[in-house]
Amino acid sequence: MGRATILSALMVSGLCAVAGSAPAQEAAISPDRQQVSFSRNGTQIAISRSAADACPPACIQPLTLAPDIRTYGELEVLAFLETAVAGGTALLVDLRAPEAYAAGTIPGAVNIPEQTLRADNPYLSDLLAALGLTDPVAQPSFDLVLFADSASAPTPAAAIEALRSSGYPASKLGYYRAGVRGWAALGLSTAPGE
Amino acid sequence: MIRTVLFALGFIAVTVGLIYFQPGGPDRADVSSPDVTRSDAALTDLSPALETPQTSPVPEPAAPEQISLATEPEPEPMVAVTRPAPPPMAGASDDLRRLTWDTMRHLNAATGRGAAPGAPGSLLHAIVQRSLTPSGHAPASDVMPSVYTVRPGDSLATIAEQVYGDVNMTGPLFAANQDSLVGPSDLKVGQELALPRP
Repeated sequence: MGRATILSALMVSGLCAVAGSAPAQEAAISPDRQQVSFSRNGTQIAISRSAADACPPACIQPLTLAPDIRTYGELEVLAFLETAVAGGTALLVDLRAPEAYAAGTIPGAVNIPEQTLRADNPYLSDLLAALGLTDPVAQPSFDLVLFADSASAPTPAAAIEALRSSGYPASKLGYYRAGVRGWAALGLSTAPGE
Repeated sequence: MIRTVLFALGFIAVTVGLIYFQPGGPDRADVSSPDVTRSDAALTDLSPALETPQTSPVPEPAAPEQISLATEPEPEPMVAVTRPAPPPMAGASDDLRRLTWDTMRHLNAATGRGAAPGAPGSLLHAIVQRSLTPSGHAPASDVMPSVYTVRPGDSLATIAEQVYGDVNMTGPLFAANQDSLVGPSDLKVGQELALPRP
């Protein structure tokens, strides 16, 4: 009996290791809501959330991060790639760490890890210059659509906030909310980062 | 028997002669001259701070140390001078620099904008230079002189940091003056060094 328990525990931990992710745990939905409960025709219904990462920071993001920031769905992202990115005036930006980007991302995306956009990065101005923020006449700044892992990733909101506070025009910023996981969940192809 | 004694005497004579004259060893005049070494630089930096309290009962505490270190027979290993000192920023910032560097490299490659990464005068070169400038240290001036006159306490690394704000320029500085320098620590006070463009 004891041996069987140990064996099954080993198998479970092995499966977790293969899956490569932390086991799901009880997590808050948003910073101020642990779970949602309501009643429908007298029946009490509760919705909770279990996720690998705790909230905060990995809270479910709103559809609209800010009134002037456009949120993209997959069809809009595809159109953005076909027109703006192909035209050389825009970039689809993967905000995840370089390792995650290299493992697999939306084809055509470039990698700008979110932490490089923070105000405490001493080289931020050079990065913004590469995005065309310093000399808008010679090199107009790119239209950017930012994404990360999933709709619960806090990094796009942080990156958009950081870019706006360093002077990036809000009209040039977009948010693909579903992220790589939402993209792949629809069966759309991914590619290793360049 | 006599042959053996003569051989032994000859051996001793040659050995003593070699020990005394040391052919191929460092020049004696160079070793004893209170010239430019890194340890010297650290001491001259310290000495004003040590001398500022005028009430101090010990007169010129740095002086004897300076002599003993300057006459230290072992020359400074070359590696310590040519290899740039670690940047003054913390390790986390170092990672951030590398991360931003890589990001910009990929970004410029993807967009076709920007100069050749890392090439002198390029954006990335500027990043590395700025990142290595210690805070509070005067950055490299816009008007770059072409000749530097060595002062007491200088080493190639301190000159590179002083002139360029970048210890990584130690290598190019040495390369530009290889005609007049035997080794990176072979500096004389008053010697003129050519300053390469960063």
